Amino acid sequence: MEFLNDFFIRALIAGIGVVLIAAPLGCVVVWRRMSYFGDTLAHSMILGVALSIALQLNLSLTVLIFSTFVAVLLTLFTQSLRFSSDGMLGLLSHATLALGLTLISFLPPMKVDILTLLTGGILTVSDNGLDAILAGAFIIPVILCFIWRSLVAYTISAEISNAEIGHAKIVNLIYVILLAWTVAISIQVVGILLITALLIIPALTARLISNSPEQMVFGAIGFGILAITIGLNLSMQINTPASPMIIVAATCFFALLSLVSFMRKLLLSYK
Amino acid sequence: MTASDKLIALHNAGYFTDNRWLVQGINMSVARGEIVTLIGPNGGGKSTTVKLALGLLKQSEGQVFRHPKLKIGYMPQKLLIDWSMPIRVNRLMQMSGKASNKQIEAALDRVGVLHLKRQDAQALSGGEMQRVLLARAFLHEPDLLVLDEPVQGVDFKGEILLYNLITEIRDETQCGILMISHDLHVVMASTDKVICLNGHICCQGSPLSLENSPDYARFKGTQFQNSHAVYTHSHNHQHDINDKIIHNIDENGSMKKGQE
Repeated sequence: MEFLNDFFIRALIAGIGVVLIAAPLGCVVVWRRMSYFGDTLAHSMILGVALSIALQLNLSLTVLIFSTFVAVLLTLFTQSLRFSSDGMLGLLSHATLALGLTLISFLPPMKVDILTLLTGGILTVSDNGLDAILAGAFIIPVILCFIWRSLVAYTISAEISNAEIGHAKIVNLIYVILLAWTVAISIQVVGILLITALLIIPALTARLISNSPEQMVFGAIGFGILAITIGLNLSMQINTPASPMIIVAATCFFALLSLVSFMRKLLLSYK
Repeated sequence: MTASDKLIALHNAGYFTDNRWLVQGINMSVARGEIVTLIGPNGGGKSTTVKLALGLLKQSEGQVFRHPKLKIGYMPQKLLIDWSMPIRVNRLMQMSGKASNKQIEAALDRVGVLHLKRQDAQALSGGEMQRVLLARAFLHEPDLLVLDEPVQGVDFKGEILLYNLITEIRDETQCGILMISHDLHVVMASTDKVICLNGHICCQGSPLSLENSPDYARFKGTQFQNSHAVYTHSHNHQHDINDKIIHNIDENGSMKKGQE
C-alpha cells in the first residue's frame, strides 16, 4: 500500500485507530472517575519499556503483557487493601515512574528517547506499532461490544449488577485489561504524559451534548478524530510537536462547546 | 411448603468483619409468593442480611441457599449516578437487560412516573428515584424482588400507592419479596412474615392488621387502613448499650412483657 509511506497519512491512520479504542474506554474512565488509574497505568509503562530494552524483548509485546500485569495488580490492590485507592494509585504511579527512570539510566544513553516516550511520536510510528494499533482498533471494540451492557450496569451500580447479572467482577476485570491494552498501544502515539488526556478530553466534550451513554461514546469518537486531524494539520503548519497539538485541539473543542452550552443555558434562563 | 418452593434460604448464617459479628445465627427463607419484611434498629444488620441472601457478601459461617437460575430484581436504598454519565430514565430502566418501549412505559405508569421517561436520571428527586428504581426492579418479572426501604423518602400517599402496588405485583406474578422496612412497628399489610433483627433474630411473626391493633383509633378511617399493618414485638431479651444481651426473666422465672 503506497499511501502508507506518506508519513502524514500513516500518522492519521495511527491516530484514528487509537481514538477508536481510547474514546469508548475513555467514557468509562470518566464515569468511574478512573483517570488517575489511567495515569498510573501510563506511568508504569516507563518501567515496562525499560524492562523490554534491558532484557532485549519485543517492545510492543512486553509493554502489552506488562500493562496487563500492572492493571490486574492495581485492581486487586485497590479492592483488597484498606488504603484509599487514591493513595494507593499515587504510590504505585510514582514508584513505577521512579523505578523505570532509574532502570533507564543504566541503559546505554542512545537506547531510549525519553522525550518521545513521554510525549509520543505519532509521526514516527513503526510498522510494528501500526500493526498493533490496527489490530487493537479491531479487537478491543469487539470485546467491548460483548460486555457493554454489563459494564454500563456495573458503572451505574455495582450492587444492582452484582445482584441481578452476577458476573460483574469478571466484566470489571475484562474492562481493566482492555484499558491496559489501550494504554500500551496508545503510548507510542500520544506518549505517557498525554494518554490520559486522549482518554478523557473527547469523552468530556461529548458529555456536553449527549443524552445516553452510547451517544457519548460515539460523540467521543467524533471529537477524538476531529482533534487528531486538526491537531496534526496545525502541528505541520506551525511546526510544533504533534501529540501536544492534538491534545490542545481536543481541549479547544471542549472549551468551545462548554462556552456554547453555557451561553445556551443563559439564554434559556432569560426566556 | 416444599423445599423447592424456597427461593432463598439462610441456615445459621453469620457475617464477621472488622473484628465483630454484624449478624449471626440467621435462619430465614423466602418462598415463592411470600412476602418477608425485615425490621430492626439502624445497624441491626438488615442490609447485611439482605446482602448475604443476594450473595453480595460471602457469609463467614452457616449456609446460604439460592434457587438455581433465580431471577432477582433488586432495589437499593438509594442510587447516586455521577453527572458525568448522561443517562435518562428510559435507559436506566434497561441497565440489566433490554425491554420494549411498551414494557417500560407500563412499568413506569404503574409507579406513577410515566412522565419522567425522558428525564435525566440525575434530575430526579429522591421520591421519584425510588419509584423509578422500584419500576426497574420488577420490569423483568423477577422470581425474587428485593426491596431496601422502598418507601423511604416517598410521601404518605405515595407510600400507600407503592405498598398496594407491591402487593399487586406479588399477587400477579407470585414472586417472592424480601423487603427492608424503614419503620420499627408499621409494615406493609400483605407481609406474611416479619423478622426483627438486631445482630441476630430477636423475634419474628406475622403482623397484626390495623383493625385488630390497640392503636386502631389512630388509624381508623385513614387511607392507611388497608395498606399498612402493625407488628407487635415479643422480645425475651434486651440489648444494653454495649450490645450485650440481657434476658428479661424476673424472679418467678417468667418473661416480662411489653418491652421492645
